[in-house]
Amino acid sequence: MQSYPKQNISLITSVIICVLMVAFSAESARAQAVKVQASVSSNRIGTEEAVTYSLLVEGSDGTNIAIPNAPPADGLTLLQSVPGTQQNVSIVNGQMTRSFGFTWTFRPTREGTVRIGAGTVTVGGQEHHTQPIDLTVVPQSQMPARRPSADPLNRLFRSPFDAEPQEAPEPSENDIFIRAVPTARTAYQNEQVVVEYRLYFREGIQLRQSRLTDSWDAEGFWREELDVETRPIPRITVENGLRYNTIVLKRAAVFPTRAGEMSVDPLKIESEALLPFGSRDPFQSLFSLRTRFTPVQLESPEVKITARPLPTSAPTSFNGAVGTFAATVAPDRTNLEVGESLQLTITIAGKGNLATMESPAIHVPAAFDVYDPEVTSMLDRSGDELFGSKTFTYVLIPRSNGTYEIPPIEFTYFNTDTDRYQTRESSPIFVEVTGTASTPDVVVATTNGMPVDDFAPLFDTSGDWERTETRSLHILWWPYLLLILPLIALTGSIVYQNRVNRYRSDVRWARGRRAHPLSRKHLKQAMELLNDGDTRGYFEELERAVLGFVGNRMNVAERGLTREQLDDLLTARNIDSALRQRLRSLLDTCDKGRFAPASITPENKEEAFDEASSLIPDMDEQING
Amino acid sequence: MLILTLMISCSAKAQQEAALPLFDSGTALLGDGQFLDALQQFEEAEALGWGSTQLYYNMALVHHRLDNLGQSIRYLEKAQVLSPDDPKVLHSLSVASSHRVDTFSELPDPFWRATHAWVLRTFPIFPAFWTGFLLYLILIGLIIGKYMHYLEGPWFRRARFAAALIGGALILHALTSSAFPPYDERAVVLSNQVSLLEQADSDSDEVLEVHEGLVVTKGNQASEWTFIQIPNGARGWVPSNTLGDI
Repeated sequence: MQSYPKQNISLITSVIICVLMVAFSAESARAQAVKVQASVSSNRIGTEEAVTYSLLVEGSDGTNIAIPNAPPADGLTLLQSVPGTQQNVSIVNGQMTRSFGFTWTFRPTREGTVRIGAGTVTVGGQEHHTQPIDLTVVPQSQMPARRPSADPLNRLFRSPFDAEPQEAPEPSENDIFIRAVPTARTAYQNEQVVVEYRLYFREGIQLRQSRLTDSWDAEGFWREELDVETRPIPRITVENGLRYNTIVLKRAAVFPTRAGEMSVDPLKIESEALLPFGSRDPFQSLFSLRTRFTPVQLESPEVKITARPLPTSAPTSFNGAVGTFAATVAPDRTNLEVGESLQLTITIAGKGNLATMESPAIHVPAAFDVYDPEVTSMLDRSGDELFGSKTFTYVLIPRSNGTYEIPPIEFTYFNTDTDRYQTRESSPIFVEVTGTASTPDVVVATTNGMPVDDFAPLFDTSGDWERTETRSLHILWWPYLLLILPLIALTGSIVYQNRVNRYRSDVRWARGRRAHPLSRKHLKQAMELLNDGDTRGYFEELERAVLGFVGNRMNVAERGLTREQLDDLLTARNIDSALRQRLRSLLDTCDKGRFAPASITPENKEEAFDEASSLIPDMDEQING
Repeated sequence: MLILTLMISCSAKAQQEAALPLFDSGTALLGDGQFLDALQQFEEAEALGWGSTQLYYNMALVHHRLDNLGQSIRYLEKAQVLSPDDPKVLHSLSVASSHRVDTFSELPDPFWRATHAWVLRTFPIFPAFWTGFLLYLILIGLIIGKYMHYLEGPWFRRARFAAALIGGALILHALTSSAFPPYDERAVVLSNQVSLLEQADSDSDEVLEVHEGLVVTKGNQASEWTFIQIPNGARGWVPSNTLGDI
């Protein structure tokens, strides 16, 4: 069996890997979006200077780029119609990037503002256009003087250690500067604003020994540093038609702690710069060992940010969180025994100031001991904004058994995407606690036997019951009735006793009071006797009724009175003669009925009864009158 | 009168007998840790119109376990009204009060008010009234006996004088204390946080904020607002539904 030597295998493997890498790189290049940028060598030139216009195509492998035509120009004349070409290949983080450049040279034809029109490049059949670039053409005298042109031979044979009366060129503000770019100029209080400091320097400028010269501060802000690359690779950016390399020096997330306009300090750095256009002589570059780096001090502009106060309609559960968040609440278990611990973890994740965020309020049943939460934060500083999560882990220990409900936990934050307060609420958590509390080693009872920091045990039996809705005594009716009734009874008793006493002491009054009842009684008995057919008894009772009434009313003993004596008594009481005559007539009828009842007809009996009944009130009226 | 008293007594007895099983079952549920069910039983017992120190205390304990501080303090205060010196009630009220957010100093009661309160605690309204009424009946009986000439003599005269004096004083004490009690109607703040407002209007200026569990004195009521005084003497209006009567 034939076998390949090890070295040959390694060689073949390497070739295959290279081919795959090239193929992959080509595919990657195709896959990238085509980007076309236009730039000039300088946007301020003298009347006697030329300017180079470049079109840079990125994201193409070069096979499908049509050679572009020079862009139209106003105030400039094209020195060459065929563009110069260049090709750059760079590998950053293992990714290969290829770019193709086309350059033309223009010379100004007049002073003032001139323009190079939009460049057009066709890549893969698709046209890509750039923006026009305006240039400023000034008299040549206003431009810095050129270095005197040295004799090439003299320069060639001059010792590199010879001093040359030449100053290193100073970079202008357009050559190198720092720009501070905030994500927002206006933000809500405690809303995240990312301020990025980018260093811009023209292509060809070399920098070394860069360092911060002053402490950077942002008073009135809570600030969090975001990650930037420690060994940054410059990115090419076109600004005002000029190509710059840019690197991010610093990126910081700031959170206004109060409302109002506040400033973020400028970023200040010191560095040493080497300008390529100060010495373009390759011979000098090759043989001169002297440093030509120029110290430069750079400072970004101050960034002003206006912080707005949060809306006043904040729910009670709002505790200052601003941004976009998600919240989760999770117990590590829901079944445990008395004395065991339960961990309740509240996790808040999202974009915002997590460092100052406080735990949402939790309302745990009083049967639980709650300990201060363990707080952990994880911040992701690698992105363009500060993300992260904050976890609050509470330890709960039940003191008694039962089924407990941990009410929903509310987390309210101000959502900067919707400019509204948003509340996230967890579901209620039911915890089943079993077992009974073991006898603790520590003192858990007060001197009177009550538990420390807990309620006394329940009552097993109920004592005396009382009405819960007792009305006030003074507005009830029955107390007053109870007080009045005995008074009425007392009054009645007194009246009764007085009447009894008068009956006993005042015979005349007593007989007068009894006159009517007795006469009615006798009349009633007379009627009964009449019905029984007892005529004699009937007339006796009629006579008793009439005479008894007269005797009682006049307080005389009626028995034994003669008719004359009776008539005299009545006359003395001013009873008129007609009434006396009626009385005598009735008494005569009664005598007749008693002693000769056969002569009495039934009509006589009824007439006698009617007469007696009417005579009694008539006499009473005249006796009283 | 006797029949009326007997009817009232029979009705009361029936209601108490209905409340007792509810109390017992609620207490059993409380012991088992089934707080919501226990609370339901207790509330049904209370709805019958009767209460006791033990019922109120157990209700306070349920609310304490359910972390309802305001209701817990409310029922402890109710239990304390019935049993001012019960050690369980006093201890638990102290524990619950320690969880209150508000710690206002309390205005002292005037001397006459404190004295009146002591008298009322010693001679509660209804016992005082019934005792006074009994003496009143005795007085009436003695007067009637005097008129009937049965109860005459110096001892009966002294008895009439004592019955009139003591009975009248007790009845007067009962009625006046009922009409003009030495304490105001109290309530407990049940909401987590309530703004004490200068006027009965939600747009009115805020005097201060009070929190759950604070015992306040109730004043006038207007629509859905109640005028209250907090222990340090500050006054203001709060929504009536944020209070629980004691």
